[in-house]
Amino acid sequence: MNEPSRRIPYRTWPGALAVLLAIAAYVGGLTYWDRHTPGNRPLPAGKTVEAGQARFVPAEGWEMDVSRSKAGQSLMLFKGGHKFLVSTFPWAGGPDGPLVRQQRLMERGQRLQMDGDVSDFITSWGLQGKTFAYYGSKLAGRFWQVVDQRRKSLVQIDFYGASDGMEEALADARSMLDSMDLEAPQ
Amino acid sequence: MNAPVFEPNDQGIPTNQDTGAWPVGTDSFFQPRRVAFWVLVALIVNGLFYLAYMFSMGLRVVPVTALMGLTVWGIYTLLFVLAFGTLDLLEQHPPEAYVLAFAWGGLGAVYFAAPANIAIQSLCAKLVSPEFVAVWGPAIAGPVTEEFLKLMGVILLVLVARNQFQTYLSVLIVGAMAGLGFQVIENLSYTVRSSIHFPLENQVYPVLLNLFTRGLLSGLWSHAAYTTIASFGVAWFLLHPQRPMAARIAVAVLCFVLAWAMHFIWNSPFLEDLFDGGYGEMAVMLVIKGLPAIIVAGLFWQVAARENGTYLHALAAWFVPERDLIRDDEWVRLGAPMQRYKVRREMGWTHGWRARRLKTHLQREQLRLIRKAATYGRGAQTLRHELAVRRLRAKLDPIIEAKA
Repeated sequence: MNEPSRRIPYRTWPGALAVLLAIAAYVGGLTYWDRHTPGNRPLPAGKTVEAGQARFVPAEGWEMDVSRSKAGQSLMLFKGGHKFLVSTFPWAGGPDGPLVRQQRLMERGQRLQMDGDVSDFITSWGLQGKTFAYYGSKLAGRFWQVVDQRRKSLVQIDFYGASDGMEEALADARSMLDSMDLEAPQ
Repeated sequence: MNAPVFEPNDQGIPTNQDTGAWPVGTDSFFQPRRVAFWVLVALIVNGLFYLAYMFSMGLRVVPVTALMGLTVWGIYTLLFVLAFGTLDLLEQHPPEAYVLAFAWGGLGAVYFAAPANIAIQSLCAKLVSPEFVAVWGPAIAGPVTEEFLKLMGVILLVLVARNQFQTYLSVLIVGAMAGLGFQVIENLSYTVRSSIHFPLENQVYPVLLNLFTRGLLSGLWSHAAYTTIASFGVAWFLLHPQRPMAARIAVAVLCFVLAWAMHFIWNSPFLEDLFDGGYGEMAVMLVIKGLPAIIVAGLFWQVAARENGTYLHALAAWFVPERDLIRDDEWVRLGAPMQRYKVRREMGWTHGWRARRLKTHLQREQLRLIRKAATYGRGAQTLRHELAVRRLRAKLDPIIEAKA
């Protein structure tokens, strides 16, 4: 106790290396394990799937990505290099607010470009909202959005992927959107 | 190595007589010749780039939230630091130790926590189900990843300047700072993210809502408390070299498990069914879930403060025996930061703000005098603090006497 502390030289590299290795093993190991664990779940043909209050019939050959789907909130389907993400959120603001914010997120946050103007859409089930196309350096996509002010909810459908096979995949996406309604039990 | 011995000099003041051994003093936290220092700095800088990228994205998408969030959480950090300072906890180390600890928590640990948490939740979704992740994902991923990463920073800091850590308290405060860094940056990140999906166009409400829920209702029993608990194990391991290695490791692991368990309970859906979604009931639930962490962390702080008190008393008895420098009542309170704070407050009430400020400075200078004397021995290096104590007392005593 009654001795001063002394500046005794010591090596820190074994300890520092151990810390570095522990972090690398933990983070790298988990990431590696995750990447090598398949996350696809085949969906039964013709059966309706749900994401929040949105429900629709998946097109043939599309599978669920379980790791990027959040129960009761979002559902990610994929086929080849194309994705179809349906997300639902609460919304209590005006009808145009989410669209403006989404475009800002894509243009300023994700560095994507808008392709043409925003247009209205309506499906055979009467689902209506706004849509726009976009593109980036490696992908292109189309975004649909439905604001349900009565239920105070927002449904966003984001379809995107590589240019190869885009036409066919977009047709699948449109058919899935066409089958969609917002009547899923909560 | 010869153990240095302090012998009283002509004035009865102990000095360092040993000149043959390693240089007297404590290592600074700037150690460019130590690998641990560069690992710590490299990982912090790496995290800084990541955070700057994420924040710049938030700034472009929700600029009002990002800027207001930065301001609000900055002030929040300052309040914590002020509280630590009020309890004299920041006297344990030079400021760079706290900067490094905070930066590790907020930059180094956060950078690695993100991919690890995503991987664990993704694996749970793949191996169990997305429904399972929605309920248990945060409890499974967050605690193990975040407690582990924050603690790695504490270990790196101990490696950088081992002889700075002579008491439990000196380790615990670094752990608390690392936890605070993690907590604040995580809160800022959640604030920006929640604004992107907030159910209104308004960019101010997300900041206020997060400040209320994450800052006020959850702030005390969050990362700073967990890392304090886990750091106690590191402190025990470090300060009990005479104990068997198995026992030291067991205590370190036990404290880590305790921190993990508190964090797990907090992130878990326990009790959520018993309360509705209202803010009043949510507040009650958060208090109930957070209480175990704050009690355990409080107990550890108490043990550490008591040990620190014993340490200070022993040092003061040997190195600063003059009663004009540390009077009897001040000596008794050396190891009791709350009592010291109470005295300052009472001084303010009775004799005014200036007396309180002088008393605060006096107490700080006494602590610095003891610590510097313990590090280098009494002599020219402690003269500045001795003079400061005498000068402050010369200003304070007339104020007290005038009132009496």
